Amino acid sequence: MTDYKATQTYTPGRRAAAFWFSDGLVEIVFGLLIVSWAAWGILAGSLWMPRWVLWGTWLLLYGFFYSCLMGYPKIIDFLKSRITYPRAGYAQPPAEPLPDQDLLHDMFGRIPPDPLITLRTARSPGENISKFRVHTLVLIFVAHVIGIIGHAWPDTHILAILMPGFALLLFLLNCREAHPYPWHSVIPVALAGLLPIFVKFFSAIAMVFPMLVFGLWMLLRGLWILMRFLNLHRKIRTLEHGRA
Amino acid sequence: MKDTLRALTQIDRMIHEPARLMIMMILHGVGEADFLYLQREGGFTQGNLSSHLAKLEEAAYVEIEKKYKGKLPLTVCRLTPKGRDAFASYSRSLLQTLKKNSPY
Repeated sequence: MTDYKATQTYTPGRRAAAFWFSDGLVEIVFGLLIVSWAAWGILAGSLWMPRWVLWGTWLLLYGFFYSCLMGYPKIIDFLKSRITYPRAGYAQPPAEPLPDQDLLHDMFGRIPPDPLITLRTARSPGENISKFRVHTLVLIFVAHVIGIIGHAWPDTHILAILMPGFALLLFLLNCREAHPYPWHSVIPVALAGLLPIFVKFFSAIAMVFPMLVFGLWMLLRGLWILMRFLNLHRKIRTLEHGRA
Repeated sequence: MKDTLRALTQIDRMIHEPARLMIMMILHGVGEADFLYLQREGGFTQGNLSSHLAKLEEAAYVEIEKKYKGKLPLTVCRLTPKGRDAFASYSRSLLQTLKKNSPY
């Protein structure tokens, strides 16, 4: 069966962009962030607390996540300098955008930046994942918002339509990018949408269900890629391979 | 046809060597890359890569900088503006000649 994943890694620039994702660290960091957000949503929905406490903690969490979103290049660079660069080397894709900008990327780039999800199309050196943010993170956020709206009508089983739809979008939007998702990797996300039909989730879980599923999926996928990367690149260089 | 073929004699021989051409192509596609990345991508040996990088640096096509990423020392290479122009000119010239003279 043909695997319709991206095959656009043959140019050096594209290979450098793909290399950025080859260790799974980006997905681990963002997966943890999304799962934490969902976990907080479940906790906040489960415990009774005064409204001012609830809003206060949401604001604090909002600030924390925003800091993470702003600071993630440094976080990832820190992790890569300890895990990736000693094993596989270091490459930085060029600052200018990849030539095949699509309409979706342009549309989201024109929307004023939202504090929760930064939609700016940053292309500064070391960024490398602007399309990942638009084609993956924004999609997850939109799924989450629709999931919250759909929670108001539980009998419509909106997640059964939403999750497979977003899984398909995730695959299609990224299949030509530097970081594609193989078709089989998004199947668990699609199937997770059917769970609420058979299992009655606690209300707090039902509300953040899409985010929880996507977050777990991203985290597990990142860990799997990291495991493969470490297996492939076992040797750590101890001496600097400089010029003779 | 004679003129387009003769244009090949003017080709930049600093770039027109397989290993150096590979280095230029890799560096052209990235902002910067370290020695280990170049070595893996090009399949070079350490000595071979060092020697070619030295020549490219001498020609001012490539600049080499030793820096740190955290505590990890890196030898980072990037194309200079002169190197980018030279590579662009080389690519155009070669492609033009091949286009006019290739049977395919």
